[in-house]
Amino acid sequence: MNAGPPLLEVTDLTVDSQATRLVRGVGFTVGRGERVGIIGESGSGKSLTALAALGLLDDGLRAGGSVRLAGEELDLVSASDRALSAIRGKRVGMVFQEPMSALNPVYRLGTQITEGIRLHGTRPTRRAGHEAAAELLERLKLPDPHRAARAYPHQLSGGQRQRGVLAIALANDPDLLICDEPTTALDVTVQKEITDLIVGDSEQRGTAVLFISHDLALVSSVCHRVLVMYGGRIVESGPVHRVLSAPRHPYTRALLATSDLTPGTRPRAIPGIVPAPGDLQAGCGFSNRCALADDKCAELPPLLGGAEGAVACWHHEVPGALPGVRQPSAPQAQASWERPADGEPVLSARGLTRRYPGRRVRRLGRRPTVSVLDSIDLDLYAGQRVGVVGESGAGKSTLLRLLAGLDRPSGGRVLGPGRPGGPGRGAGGLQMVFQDPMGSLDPRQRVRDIVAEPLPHRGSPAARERVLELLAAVGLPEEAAGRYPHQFSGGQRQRIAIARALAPEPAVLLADEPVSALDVSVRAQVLDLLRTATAERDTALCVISHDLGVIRYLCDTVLVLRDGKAVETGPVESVWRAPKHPYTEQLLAAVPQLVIPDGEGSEARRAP
Amino acid sequence: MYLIVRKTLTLLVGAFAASFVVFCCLAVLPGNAAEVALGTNATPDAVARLSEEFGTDRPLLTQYADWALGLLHGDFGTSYVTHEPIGPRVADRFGVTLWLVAGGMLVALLIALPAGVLSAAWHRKPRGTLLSALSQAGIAVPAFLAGLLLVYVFAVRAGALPAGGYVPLAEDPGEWARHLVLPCLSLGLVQGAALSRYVRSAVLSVQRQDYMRTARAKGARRWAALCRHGLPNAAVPVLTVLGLQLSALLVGAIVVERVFVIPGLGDLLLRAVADRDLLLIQGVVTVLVVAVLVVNLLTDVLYRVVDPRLRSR
Repeated sequence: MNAGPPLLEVTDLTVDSQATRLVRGVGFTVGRGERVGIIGESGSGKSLTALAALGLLDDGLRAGGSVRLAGEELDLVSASDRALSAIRGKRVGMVFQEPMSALNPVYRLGTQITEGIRLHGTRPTRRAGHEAAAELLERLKLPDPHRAARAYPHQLSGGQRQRGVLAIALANDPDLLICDEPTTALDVTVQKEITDLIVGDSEQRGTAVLFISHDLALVSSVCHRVLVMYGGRIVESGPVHRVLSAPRHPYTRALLATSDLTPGTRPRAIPGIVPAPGDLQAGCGFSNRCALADDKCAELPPLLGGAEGAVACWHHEVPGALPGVRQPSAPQAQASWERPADGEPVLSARGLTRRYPGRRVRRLGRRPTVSVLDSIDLDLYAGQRVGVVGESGAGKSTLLRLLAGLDRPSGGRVLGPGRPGGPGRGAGGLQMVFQDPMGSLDPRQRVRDIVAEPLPHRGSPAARERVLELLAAVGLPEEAAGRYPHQFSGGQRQRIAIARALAPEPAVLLADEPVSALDVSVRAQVLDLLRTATAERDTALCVISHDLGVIRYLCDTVLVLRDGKAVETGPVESVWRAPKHPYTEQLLAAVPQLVIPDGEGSEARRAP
Repeated sequence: MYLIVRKTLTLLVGAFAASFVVFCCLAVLPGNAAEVALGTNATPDAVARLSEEFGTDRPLLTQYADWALGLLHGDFGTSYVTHEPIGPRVADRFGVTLWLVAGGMLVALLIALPAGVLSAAWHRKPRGTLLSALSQAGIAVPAFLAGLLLVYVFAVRAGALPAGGYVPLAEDPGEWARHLVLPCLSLGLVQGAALSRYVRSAVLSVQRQDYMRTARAKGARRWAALCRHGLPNAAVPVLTVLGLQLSALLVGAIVVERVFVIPGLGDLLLRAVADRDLLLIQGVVTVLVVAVLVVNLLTDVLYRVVDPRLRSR
């Protein structure tokens, strides 16, 4: 795969917005048939790099440097829209993050796929176009491809849509496929199907892949080579097995350590926050969060290396674990939770059911009902941490809404706070932490007022005192009280949300995907905070997440939901080690594992 | 089809509810038709006799039922003031107003679509800002002022177009068109300026959508992607405003008809108010209400034509 000149050659690529430089000189190559991953957190410039390579940057952004595709005279950075259009979709295909919004809602899927063929020469008849689209969909293992080609995007599931987007990208058999977080919005089982398709197509047709993701495990299962980006620069690159088994850059090492949510190890979160592009200091961008940083890091380290990869760090030869990043603490046994002998559950649900009216089968027929949640029993005891896992549509959010009293059950009941007769949202009551920390905090309120909101006497000196106490408890400085939510990073905002939820000393804390909107390097911080904060106060915690690793790390008890039914429940560790239900097994098998193959061969595979 | 039937039924119910409200509003006004007809010096006897003749001495509900049943046959009753049947007069005038509104809408669309799309596509460039500024200035101008200015420039100064009046289409199509140009322009210019703001914001928000990027990644050029993928999606919010504006145009027409001395529905309505011709007012207002309801029905149906997501509901 390394014969001849590289398929894609990126040299000194920069992307600037009006005020700041977002991508700061990135260079790499992708060989024919090679699969290269770009790993990075938000703001690392990984997506911009891909978009710039195709000339698809937003209007306000400017690219510099050069991007060359083998066999093309053009430099894609300076080429005209006309010239680039001839290349896009023909020689380079692209798959985007959100299959929900990447397809045009007003056209049938087949039409959108054939449009790509039409734009590049051949003009198939309507019928031939439909056939071609169906054929592509069939190649992507979509059941009933003819029907899918005639469907509108809203009639398809997330996985089906992403196959559609993939079909568009592959319509003209491109030499290079660029995938920007192609599975982030999908369920784990669907994620595996999609990445298998991408890898399969690449193996069969020799399509090169540039695969962008924040998920190291995913990249390790797809790619041959990986580039690690931080603050708009590549900090490390090399074959996947080398980078993941012997990372050199402190950021890569820290990222690996913090991504590993295996219970028993203590993943030390990377200190600090992912910097906004404008806030990067001179020299090494990571130095302010780095355990090895010294005076030398004020100077920008060059990306140096050879065949086994390159690294941009003055201290990359420091061996072993990094001080302050991953403490080789003795693997503490996951404290398994014991039901108190005499305890009453603080929140208890029996036969919880929620039905919605479904679509009429016939015009004037009766509306069938659809059960979103079906006879769920759940007990939450003080100090217990229950995790609810399941794929989209399993009824996780419905369950949480019913527990929170935000929705009325169609059958069954919930006893506990927030119910008639029980405490409400105040002391001993119930509070929630939501998924999107930006959307769930009022942008016009100061943090002080946000956190004090659930308190009984909001304006009192006691309440003010309590706010500062809470901010300290979630690891935010005192000055935070006077600022607004938009002045914080995602992880910090989630801390504010947690402080607000803890304010009235609730007996029950419900958390809806509390870390899925956060970067990997701060995810562990927030999980640790949730764990310690609830343990200290003996608060019962119920977390829903699609990420099984998060549940395993945070919770002691797990409830597996599928199509509204509880298929398995029990202590987390025993469910993990010996799942009883085939569905649980299937879920666990689909989670990508960090596979670090020993020895030669860059072929990475998933764990069995 | 099912939808259209259901919506039409809703429309009929709405129309009747509206006619009832209109009837009630006018019924509670002080004074009665006979008094108005006979003047201030009429004897109570004469008033009573005339009331009986008009039928206004009957219970209100009977009067309403009578009138509403008539409406179903297209019979709007007979004016107490002119003693002429109201139906043909309203129909005649409504035709004129319809031409005016249709022309105004056409002008508005011809201005708003290009101006809105271009100012969105160029929103980071000076020419986009200039277009934006022009449309904002346009919104600030009231329709009658635009009318007066147009009359001054084209009719008084240039003498190219008539300053007012109306010639029916059947009589002389050329003159008909010449007489409609200035009224339609003055009605459409301002509406067009306002509409272009909505078109602009709809296109701007559509441009940020992921499917636009998908279209470009397929190899569609910038403008091709905007026309093929952007505009159909921008149409939904614009349709909403269009429906509202069409209703506003009906009202705006009343003012413009006054300025250009056009014998339209507005002119008829103003005259009916001046003459205290209650039954005529009732008829005109009902026609206007039904027109608005029909516009809403059409918007509703068009939504579903444009956006397949709405069809399944």
